[in-house]
Amino acid sequence: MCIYDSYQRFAGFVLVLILMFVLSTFPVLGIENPVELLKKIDAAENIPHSFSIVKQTITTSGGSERTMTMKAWSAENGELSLMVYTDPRRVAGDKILQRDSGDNIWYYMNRRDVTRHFTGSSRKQSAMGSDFSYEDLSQGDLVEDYNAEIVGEENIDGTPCIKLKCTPTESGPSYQFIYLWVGNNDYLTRKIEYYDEDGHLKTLYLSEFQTIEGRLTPMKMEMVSKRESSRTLMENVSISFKEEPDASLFTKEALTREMR
Amino acid sequence: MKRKEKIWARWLTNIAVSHPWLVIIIVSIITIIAIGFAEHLEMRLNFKDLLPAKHPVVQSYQEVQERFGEASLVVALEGDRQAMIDMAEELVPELKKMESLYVVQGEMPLDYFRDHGFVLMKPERFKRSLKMFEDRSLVGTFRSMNDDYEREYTDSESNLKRDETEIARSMLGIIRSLEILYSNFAGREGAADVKEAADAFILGEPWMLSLDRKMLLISCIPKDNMNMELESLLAAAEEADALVENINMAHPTVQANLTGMARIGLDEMNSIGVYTQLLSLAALLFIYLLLAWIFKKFTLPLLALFPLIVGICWTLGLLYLFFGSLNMFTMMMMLILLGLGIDFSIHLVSRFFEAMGDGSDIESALTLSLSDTGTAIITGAMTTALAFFALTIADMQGIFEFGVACGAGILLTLIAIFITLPSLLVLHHKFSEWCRKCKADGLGNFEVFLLSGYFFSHLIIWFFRKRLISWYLESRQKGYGKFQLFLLSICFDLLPILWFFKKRFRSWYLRKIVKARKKHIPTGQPTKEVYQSYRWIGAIARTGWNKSWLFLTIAIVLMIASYWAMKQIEFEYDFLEMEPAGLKSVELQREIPKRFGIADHSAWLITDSIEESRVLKEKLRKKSMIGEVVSISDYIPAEERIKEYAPMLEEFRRNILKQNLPGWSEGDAIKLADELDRLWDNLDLMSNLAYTSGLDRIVRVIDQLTGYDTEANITDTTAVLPSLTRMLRRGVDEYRAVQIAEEWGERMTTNIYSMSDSSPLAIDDLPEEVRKTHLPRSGDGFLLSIFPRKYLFDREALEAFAEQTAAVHPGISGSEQLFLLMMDKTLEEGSRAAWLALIVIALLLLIHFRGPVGLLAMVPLISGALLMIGLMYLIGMKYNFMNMITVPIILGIGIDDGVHAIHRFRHQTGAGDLRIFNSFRFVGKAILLSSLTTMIGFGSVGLYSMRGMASFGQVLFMGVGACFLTTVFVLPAVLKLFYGKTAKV
Repeated sequence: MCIYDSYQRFAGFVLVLILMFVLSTFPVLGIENPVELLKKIDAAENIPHSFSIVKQTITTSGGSERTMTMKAWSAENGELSLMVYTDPRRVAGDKILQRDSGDNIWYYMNRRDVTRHFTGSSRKQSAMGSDFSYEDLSQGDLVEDYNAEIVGEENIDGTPCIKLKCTPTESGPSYQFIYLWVGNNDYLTRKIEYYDEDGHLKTLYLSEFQTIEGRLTPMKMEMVSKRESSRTLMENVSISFKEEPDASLFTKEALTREMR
Repeated sequence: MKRKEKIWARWLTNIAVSHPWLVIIIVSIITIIAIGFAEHLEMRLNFKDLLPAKHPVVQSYQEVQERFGEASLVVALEGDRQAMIDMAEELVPELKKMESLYVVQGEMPLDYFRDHGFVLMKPERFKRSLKMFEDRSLVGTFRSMNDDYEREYTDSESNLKRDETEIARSMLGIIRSLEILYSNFAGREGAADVKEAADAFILGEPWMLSLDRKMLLISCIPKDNMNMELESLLAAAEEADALVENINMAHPTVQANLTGMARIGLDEMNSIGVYTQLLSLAALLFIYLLLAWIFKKFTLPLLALFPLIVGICWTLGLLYLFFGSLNMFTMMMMLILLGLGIDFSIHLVSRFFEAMGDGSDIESALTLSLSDTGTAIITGAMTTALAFFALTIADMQGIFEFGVACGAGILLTLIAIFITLPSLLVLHHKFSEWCRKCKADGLGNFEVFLLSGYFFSHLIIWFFRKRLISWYLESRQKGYGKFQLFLLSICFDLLPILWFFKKRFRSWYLRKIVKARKKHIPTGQPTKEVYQSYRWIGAIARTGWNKSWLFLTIAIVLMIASYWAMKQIEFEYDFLEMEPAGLKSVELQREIPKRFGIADHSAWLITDSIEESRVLKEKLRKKSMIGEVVSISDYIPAEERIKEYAPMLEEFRRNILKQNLPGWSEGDAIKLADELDRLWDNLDLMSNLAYTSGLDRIVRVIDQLTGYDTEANITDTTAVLPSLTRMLRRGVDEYRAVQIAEEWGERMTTNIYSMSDSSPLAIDDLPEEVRKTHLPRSGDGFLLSIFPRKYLFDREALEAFAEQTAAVHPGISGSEQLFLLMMDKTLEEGSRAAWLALIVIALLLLIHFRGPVGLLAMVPLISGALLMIGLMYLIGMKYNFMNMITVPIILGIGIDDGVHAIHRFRHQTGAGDLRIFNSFRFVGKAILLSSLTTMIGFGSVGLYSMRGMASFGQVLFMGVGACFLTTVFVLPAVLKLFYGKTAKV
């Protein structure tokens, strides 16, 4: 009897250990709610307004490189954005204005002084030949745009991350689904894999996080196209979140005005 | 130490001493037979011949070559557009007359497109075109085009990518069209017909023009191919070259050149030809002079070289029986045999004269040298041969044949030397004795030379007897017989008589002429001066022995650095970097992809049906590395498509007939200018989008049209689009404008009506050139040609292209896939063979030296091979498929130095540093000499203009030198570690 009791106590102890082990391997599954998680990501990544100087390097599938620099403004939590190319000379002065989170896009070509309005269907088009589409560049609302489920936990560049599978809602982006890795602690995106009906389309890597004006910010974003063998690297040369840009900057009329 | 005589050495000596002439005669007969075989050897210079014949990529490539042929001849004309076209119009008919050419593609089959254009369009383009050509007036055409561009391209990078080829091609047509319109609006004399402008607008440029319109290509498929009929293919290239040169004389403003694989092959042959032969002869002469200088005799090098040439002839004969041909690797086998075989001779001859110098008679000297050095030579040769035979494990045909050729060549050369050289040495000895006897009788060097010349003149006369007789008979017919008869009598009658009475002649000569200065030189004087040691090599070895730790430390540092360098050296994936530098045909191979925005050679696939071609083409053209796919389906639409299109086309035709011919109204000039302005906006938008997307073809043609210069960031306002717009805004002659507009409208209507024919199309309807290009010469199937976006010269791009094509169909094969396969296989199998060679060498050394001492011979080999790679890094060399096989080769060659050095060291009496000094001063000289001769051989290859072959020679030149240095500097230090404390082994 005594032996039986000991055995029971030992079995119970082992069971508790196993349970603890199982639970410790799935902390996220046990604790996090996907919607809450998306909200936390939105909160962590939401930028009310910003001004940055960005260097964009496109490596085409043929292996040639194109490097461009641009100034970029955003406002109203990403609803409005404006990019102005400053280099190379071929595209210097060209501007891309996005309103309504990318539903309306205007392209201004400095050389010919013409402005073209791109329709909503252009959202999924490549932004000036890069591997980013216009919708990738616009700052969306994850909670509105996706339904998410947590599928695991992985380390990205040494940072423990939660891996989510996000399926777009009806009003969401054009992808079939995306896998998104966010930091366990800071809820900042480290990597996104984009999938369409034909499979893996491209992957976005965010790296070199720096604290700028109190905000942890990725200084490098690289989109690697799985299908085209091309890649686009966007590097923040400088970024500031202090000053709110003038609302008139984000109008069609302002496109033809010379920038200071 | 008493040397043991080998039975076989005794036997070879006996034969050589008793029947030297018989041996030479038998060897000569066998050699003549071998030469007879060798003369039939074919040359296969295609790198495909080096690959495994059963590999699916190789088989697929071969099938395409044999059944369809390849556009291996390309005529490139450079100059002004019209001048190029004038020459092309004259040249193409002449090229078509050449029997050796199967297809000549000059002009595009525009008539075919004019007759069936709409049914050949894909659905989305078809609908766009129907809409676009509803209005065929001058203004309406450009308005429709602008609408179309705005719908399709100005905001869609993916559509630009999808239609890149079509856009680039159509833009060239639009440029031409606007140029003609401009000339006509300006009222220029000699302006081309407006009809041509309408044709160019709708059908594009008729000729294969580069994006800058300064180069025109005419593509030719010869009847023969690189696989089977190389000689006739090269003859075709030569004939085409002559024809182009001839016609070019009448068109001085055009620069005409040939390129393509056949032309490059011809250039390769030419570059290998005279220059290479001169280099080989120079190398041979250099080796001869070096040996003559070392041996202090002019006849000895001949003795060393003769059996070597015999061995090479035997090998070539054997190769004919085995393979029937030589490839790029086995061609170099002769030089390797020359380099290695001469070493065997040198070691044997050196040892022979060393023994003679010690006072031995000829029989003892021969037996001793064969038993002693001969054994080391056999070991060295066997290890080398087995190292080469190790290459036969390779799947790669080139490496396999090379292994057989070199392995068998080494053994045959060894046999030839061991059989022939003793007899030659005996004859040489007899000759020397005769000379000495002459001198003893009082003859000076000059007299001996004369006497020798007298005897040798018989041989020369016998060699040229046929020419002499024919010259004599011809001369007699001309009536000049007596003098020639006298000369011939001397040659054929008097000289043999003199030979018969040579002893009396000599006596007479001595009595009458040299009696006064008779000297006595005793016979049988040892010839010590013939072979002297190199004390300085002995001194280096002694220093290495005495300061072994210093030498070993330096060696280890160098080895570590070399090993690091080995990992740093890059691989050469640029096929053209293997070709001779500065050749126009090679330069054009780089230039054409730049000028046309697409590679000029393709990968291929044979499909079973037109439908399969159509499906595969659609899949392939979506791939980023692929610039263009040419398929039979471009010319024959699917039946379903014709059925679907037919009602729409009939309706379209009815509408055309109902409409009046478009004309010109007042104010149309401004409207046209507005549309051209709008076109300018659209094109600039498209070009910016294309620029950032890397779609260079589109950027370049659009920039020509708009006049924008990316580099300078300025717009050339004299470009056709700004010029025409400006002129229209300024106002044009209305009467002229009406004429232009009516002609335009009429021609557009005619063309569009013709293009909207919906009759089904079959293979028989195809133009001859198209049919010949896409259909096999025998059997079934259709050729699908896949052109890379650019010339691919790095692994990443080659792999990406191969992966993308294989993802669509595994059977796609082309030079890109072959080159990748070539590099991978050479690396994989070269490494495998090198390891196997090392194991075999180690085993043989263990057996030969009866213990682990033999492994010490590998020290200079491995360190020398590593040093060779370190030197490659220092001079900035890359690995390529030619120099990668030098690693197993240097293992085979370099081992001889170590074997001979250790062999001699073991047989050397004495102790400590004296022993190393005495062994290295003799063997060091032989090793130096053999290394120098080998280096001269490979050094001559290193000077070849074919850069691939040259790199092979350069690497082996460094490798042989490095092995010599490590033998002299490192081996004594290693020997000290093992034998430093023992007096004897």
